[in-house]
Amino acid sequence: MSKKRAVQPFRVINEGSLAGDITSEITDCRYLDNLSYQVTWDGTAPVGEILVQVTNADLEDPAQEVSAVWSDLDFGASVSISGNTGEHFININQNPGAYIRVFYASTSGTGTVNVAVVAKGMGG
Amino acid sequence: MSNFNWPAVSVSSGPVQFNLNGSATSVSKDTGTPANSRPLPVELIDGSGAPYSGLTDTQLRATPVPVSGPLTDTQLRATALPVSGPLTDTQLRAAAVPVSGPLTDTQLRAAPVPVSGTVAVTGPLTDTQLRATPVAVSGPLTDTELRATALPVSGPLTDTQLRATAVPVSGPLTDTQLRATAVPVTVSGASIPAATGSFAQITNLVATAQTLTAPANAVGFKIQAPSTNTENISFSIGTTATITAGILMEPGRSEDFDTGSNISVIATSAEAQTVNVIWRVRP
Repeated sequence: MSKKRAVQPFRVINEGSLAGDITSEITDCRYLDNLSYQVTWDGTAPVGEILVQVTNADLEDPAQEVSAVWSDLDFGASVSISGNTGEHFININQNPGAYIRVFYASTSGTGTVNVAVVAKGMGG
Repeated sequence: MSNFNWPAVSVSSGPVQFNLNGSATSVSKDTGTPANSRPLPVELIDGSGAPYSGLTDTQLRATPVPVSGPLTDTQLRATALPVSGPLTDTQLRAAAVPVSGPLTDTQLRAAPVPVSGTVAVTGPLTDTQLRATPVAVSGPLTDTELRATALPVSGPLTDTQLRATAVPVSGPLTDTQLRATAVPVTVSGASIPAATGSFAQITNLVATAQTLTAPANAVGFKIQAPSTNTENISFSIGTTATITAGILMEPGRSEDFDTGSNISVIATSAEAQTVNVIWRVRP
């Protein structure tokens, strides 16, 4: 019987402060194909950018974990946070990277941001 | 909410096309042959979708844009716009422009304007105020051109005031030419001397005329035919007396005349007659 791998909805950034940079939890997608991040925020004139970063470093190796290089995925447009409230849905199709995370680069403003991940594998 | 996809989807599309008279036409611009350009048609419509028939200034631009110059006449207006008047001084020019001369007659006015009206002259005016260059009077002038009302001559005038050059009186003058009213002769100083007499006589007067010559300064005479004459005598003044032409004087007759002329006498017979004359002579 085939088995479909999946990551159930999980907040990789939970009530993060928009006043500064935020690095989310890392999702292991070595065996996952499609991911999505849902970004929601509520604050006071926050200004910043959401970056989705991938790495092929072997994070199980502590040495590589420290020196891992995280590359930004190009969505064709900046995933910006502006306005007191808002949301973004980021869809990643057939991600070839090993590990993936979200990084918030804060410019100004304050507030709270939540980022939830769901991942699905194709086939079994 | 915004969606972001990875990998990013890039869409490349062909040129923009529109339907030109039923045919799909690509938007293009041909700088070599501008007539081949096919710009995208644009239509302005209002909120209800109706095309604008004309834009208001606010629809064109929220805030007026000052024109920056200098602009050519054509940029200002395609067709010249004649000025319709009358214009106020401010409409013509913000600040008055003094006329700098000298101006020609044409610069002042295309067609001469006859002077009309009256201007009261306040004097006294100098010759220069009246005319820059004196104007010689050309005659002959009529009395009215010289003066509206005759100006009586107030005297006494000198001979030079009357006439530059003395004019000799050419005669003979009538009494009226000399003086309108006769002036009795008065003599200042000594009285007029009395006339004296001068006797002349012819005692052999026959039918041949003789002349009694008047003395100098004779002013009159009395002629007498003595009563002792036996025939008439005749006398004449200014012509030779004849028996039939003259004043006939019978014996004893006398006559007085106020003239100092010579007297021609003649008897009417061959018998000698006598004629007496007393001349009145003014010294």
